[in-house]
Amino acid sequence: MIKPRGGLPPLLLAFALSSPLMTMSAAHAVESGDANVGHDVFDQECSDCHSIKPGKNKKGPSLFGVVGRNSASIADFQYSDGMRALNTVWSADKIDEYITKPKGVVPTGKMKYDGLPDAKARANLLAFLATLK
Amino acid sequence: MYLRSGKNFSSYIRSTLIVLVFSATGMSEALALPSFARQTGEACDACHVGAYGPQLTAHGMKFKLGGYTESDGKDGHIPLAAMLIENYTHTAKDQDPPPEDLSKNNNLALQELSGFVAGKLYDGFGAFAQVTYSDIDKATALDNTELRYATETTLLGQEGTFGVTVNNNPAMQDPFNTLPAWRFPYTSSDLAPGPEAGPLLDDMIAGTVMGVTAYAQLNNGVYAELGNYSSLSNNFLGTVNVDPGPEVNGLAPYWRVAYFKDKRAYSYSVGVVGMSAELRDRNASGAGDKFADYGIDGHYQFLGNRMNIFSVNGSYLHEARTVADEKSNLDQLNIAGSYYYDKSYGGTVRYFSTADDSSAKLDTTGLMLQADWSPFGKESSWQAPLANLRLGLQYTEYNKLNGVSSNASDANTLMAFAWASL
Repeated sequence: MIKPRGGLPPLLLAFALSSPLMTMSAAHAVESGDANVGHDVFDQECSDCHSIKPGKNKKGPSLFGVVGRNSASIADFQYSDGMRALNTVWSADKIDEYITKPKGVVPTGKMKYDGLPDAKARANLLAFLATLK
Repeated sequence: MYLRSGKNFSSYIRSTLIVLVFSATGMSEALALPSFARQTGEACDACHVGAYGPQLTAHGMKFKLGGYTESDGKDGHIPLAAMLIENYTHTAKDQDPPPEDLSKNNNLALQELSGFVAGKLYDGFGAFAQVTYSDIDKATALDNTELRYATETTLLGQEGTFGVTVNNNPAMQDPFNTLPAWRFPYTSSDLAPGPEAGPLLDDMIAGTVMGVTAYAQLNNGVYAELGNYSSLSNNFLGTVNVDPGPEVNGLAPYWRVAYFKDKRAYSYSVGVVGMSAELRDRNASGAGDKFADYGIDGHYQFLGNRMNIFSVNGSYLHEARTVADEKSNLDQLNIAGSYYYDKSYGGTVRYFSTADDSSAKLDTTGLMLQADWSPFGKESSWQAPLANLRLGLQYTEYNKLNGVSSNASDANTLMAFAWASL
């Protein structure tokens, strides 16, 4: 499920995260993204508030198995009213839309994250999240 | 700790300290609180560089500005924590006289044993309150303490976090680890000689005052804070076992403006700060000695994927002072650069200097090196977040100490420390 890996050198990581925007569907992105680089994207963008361990919730819910999971479906996590009302399935496309600009999908959500505009970084992140099962 | 009533404050200033910046009984420098980790469900490394306090990541800075109240949403978190610092101090030359009840050199000491109420008290309200026992002083006293209220809202068309803090140490409320209250070194020996001169903002009235400031961290990056400090009463300070020190005549205004950006891969801030006060003996009346501080500060922190973290934190403080009718200036520069690998193995280099153009001429320049290891503090750590430990080795070298160059190296200090919290 979670592959051990070493960290990318800082300059390489910065390069990877600043690549030009790519145009592709999120589902395609999952296939074309690099999960190892995506792990670094996760560590940089998500890991303060989210765990990848099953059942481990922080300020945000565990992201283990998030791809394909129903929204607001972790029983012991206190979601915002907005997230509970979303009633969707976290497909790759939906996650891609959400992390691009969270407030655009859940305006009253409590996640304090402005979004990840870099499509390549999102593709790598989605590829990594898809391995969490 | 501070001046007892009945002495003349000006002569006190001249003769012994101007400020005992690193006094054996000053406010403690250390902070690392597992109660915050239990409250948020996050590991220490989310908020602290090197997975141990008090150097904050941008995430930790925002947690502090949010009033210590963010949580995992669950009830029942108990906002209590404890901390211990044991250290071994060796100076290049024996100290004569030695520290009270201790040897002239090579002393092992329980420097701090602290209890905390730290975390969310109610919606929007949080606390950081510390009580510390020092086995060096054989005393327990109130240490750094603040209460905060913060809320996220829109005010005058600006979105951001708005709050109020009540605290007993000017700039302890600041989140950027650049100002004296929380800048590197985060722990240092109370049993070694050190600089005797420092500005008002560097512990001069810490613990003896209460300040109320209002602040705003706007989403566009602007941070602004304004408030006033005044002296706590002798009765209250006696109750909490803090020597009263000089009295602030009237109010001491504090102000702060900064620009702070969290880009997740890195963060930075640049700012200015100011504080002024008129200090006099508590039994005196009329005008006292005047201190006016102005400073610039900044930090840059590269976090990336958190495997290789680089930080630079610095401040330059200028003080104009009038002490016993003598006008003088004091300038203090501090800059520290650190690198941490895998949120565990760290090294820090600090340059510090104080230029004092008063007749006392208590100039100091030196360099400090520290290597430390924090084996726990990560999500995968053993007994996380209960078990927390930092082991470190710190070396301080003086080129000039309190105006003297010829034998400044006698005070060069090697300190080994074990710092635990739960």
